[in-house]
Amino acid sequence: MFSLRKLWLYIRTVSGDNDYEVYLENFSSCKKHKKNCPLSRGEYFKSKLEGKWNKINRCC
Amino acid sequence: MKNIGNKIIWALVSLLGAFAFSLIALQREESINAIWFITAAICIFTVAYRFYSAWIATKALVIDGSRQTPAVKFSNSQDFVPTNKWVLFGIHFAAIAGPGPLVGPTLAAQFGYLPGTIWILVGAVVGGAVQDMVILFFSVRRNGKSLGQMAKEELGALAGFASMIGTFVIMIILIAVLGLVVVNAMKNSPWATSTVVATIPIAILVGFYMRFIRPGRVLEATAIGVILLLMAVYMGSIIDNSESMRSYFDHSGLFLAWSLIIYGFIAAVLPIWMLLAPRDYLSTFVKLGTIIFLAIAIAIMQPEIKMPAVTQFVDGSGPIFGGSVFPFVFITIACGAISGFHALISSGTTPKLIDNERHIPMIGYGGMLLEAFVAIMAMVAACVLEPGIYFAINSPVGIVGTEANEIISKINSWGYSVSVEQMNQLAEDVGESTLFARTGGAPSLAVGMATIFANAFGKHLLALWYHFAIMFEAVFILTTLDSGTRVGRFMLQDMLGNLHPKLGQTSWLPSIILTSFIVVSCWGYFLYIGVIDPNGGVNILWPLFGIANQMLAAIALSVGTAILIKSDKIKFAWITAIPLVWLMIVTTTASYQKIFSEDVRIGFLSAANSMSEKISNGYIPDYGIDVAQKLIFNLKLDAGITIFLVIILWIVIIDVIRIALTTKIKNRKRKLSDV
Repeated sequence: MFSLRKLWLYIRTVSGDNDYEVYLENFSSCKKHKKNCPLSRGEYFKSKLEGKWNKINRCC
Repeated sequence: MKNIGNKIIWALVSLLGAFAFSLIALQREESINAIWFITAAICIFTVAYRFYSAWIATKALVIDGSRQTPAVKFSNSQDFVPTNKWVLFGIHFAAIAGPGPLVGPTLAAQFGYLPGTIWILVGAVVGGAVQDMVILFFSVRRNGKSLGQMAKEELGALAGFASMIGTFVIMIILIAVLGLVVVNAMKNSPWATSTVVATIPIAILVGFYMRFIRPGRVLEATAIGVILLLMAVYMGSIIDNSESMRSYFDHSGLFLAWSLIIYGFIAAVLPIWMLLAPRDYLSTFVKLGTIIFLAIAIAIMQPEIKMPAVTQFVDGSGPIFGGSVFPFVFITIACGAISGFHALISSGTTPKLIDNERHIPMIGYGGMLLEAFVAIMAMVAACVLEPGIYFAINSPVGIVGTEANEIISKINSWGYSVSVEQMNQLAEDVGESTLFARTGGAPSLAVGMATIFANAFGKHLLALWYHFAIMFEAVFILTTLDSGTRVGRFMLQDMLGNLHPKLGQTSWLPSIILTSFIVVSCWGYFLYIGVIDPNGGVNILWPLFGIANQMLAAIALSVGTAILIKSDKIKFAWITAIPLVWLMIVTTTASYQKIFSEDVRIGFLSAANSMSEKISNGYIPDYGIDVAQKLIFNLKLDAGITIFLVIILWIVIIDVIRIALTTKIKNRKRKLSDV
């Protein structure tokens, strides 16, 4: 049912606020990366933005 | 039992929708309440979504929930990420909904509320939403390929090239016309200008916060930014009231246009995290908030529509842009009914994020319906104004003159009552020196929105609401300008990379500077001409944008039709072929009229000829000759661009016909060999 916590999680996910947490979770669960260190929060955010804006991302 | 209950509910929703629609379409004697527009839109859209999109999904496209989507297949936590459908709906909607659905309906209101409203309701259901959904589906089935790649593979190299060039042209014209809308809202308005200027340091501050102070904390940073934006709107009134401060922000259109051009160049060269990304976060939140707020305000206030259903300007003599209701209402409202631009999003980011094919109708079809709903609200906001006020704000000086008395008597002569005192009072109420000749739609929309907000939430705040609405439109117009320039730059770098590999490197600074400069010069030129044009520039640029956008939609629908035909679904090809044929008729007619019409307000060539004649007959004073010659060149250039767009359109359509015929011959041969 409707809950404020779910709404908050939704807003965080849509806006990308919790992207880094999701990234860390995926990182630790994925065996491929075991030897490397995950990116820092700042680096991850920067690379994410660059990936987002190097193509048509906003319309008329 | 549940089944019967469902059927009854859907029957009631359909009936209510039909009733509201017929009320809008048939009411003539009394004024109609805006709530019926909202009711008609909600009912028609939910029924269309429930039945038409579901039918297309199951029967024509045969969506398969068990099939792996590219996001699942290639999941790499970079571009390919399986995403929750509601989250993706939010991301997709934020990407497709820009300022277009607010500006188009506002301009099209010069024909009255009816033509535009019908086109938004029908066009979105049968055209725009189908296009978005079908392209999304085909792109998902092709591992997230772009529209350009699909056009190349399905229709041929020429069509692929056409879609690429078409995209570039749209981007340039779109940025120019949106820039013009912002300039017209800011000219000689210290309050509006200072607020819009303040958004730049606010965005940079938010950018630094998200990058260095609290990296990646998007919501925190955005909340701070939104509060600062609201403070900037309030501060604007203090600047406006201070004699010494207001002179810094009181500028002519030409000065503002040059500032915008320089700003556009700097913004395109700066790193993304500094200006573009933070402003996008702000604009997305402000946009969603305002749209929700507007819907609530309309529901509370239930304003009466003042605009007549149909005005005399359907004959083509409209003051805002010349051209009769057919074909120009269908060109003026592109975003909101059908927008080719969306096909680039539906074949860009979104298909790489879809978790399950079953989400496609909601995201593709549903996303577009929500945008059409925004367009309906923009139409309502324009039509709750007294028509006299609407025309006084939107008519350019070339049509109504510059003196207040002259403007008012002209508008009265059209049969719309408005007085000089009324306009002065309104300008004072919203905190402006004048509202005359603010062509472009943003100020009249802001007045409309401010009226609705002020009536619902407090009248004394009219000036604040007005400047909030201006800030709101400017913020996401500037985002479109930044990101459009950047995308134009990438496209150009991609092309130039064929000449010299170094130029193709997107991170090589000289290449960045060179290509940004070229892109900014392209739209800057059209913006400059738009500002010096006494007919307001919107008259030329908006139809050109509409034609380009509809041409791109026609390419997208051609790709859809071709794929349906090739995959043995010719009996379903009509779902994309009907809107395609309609766009073909509309775009070709509009282009023909824009090029060859003898009416100087419609035809580019006759306008150019008439101006040359005026120069040779000495009707134009010496100081005006320079401007006139620039306008003549521009009119010829616009005619050339229009011809180019029509040729592209027909190349693609002939390709589709060729594919249909060869497929038919193949099928016949196959049937014969079966025997």
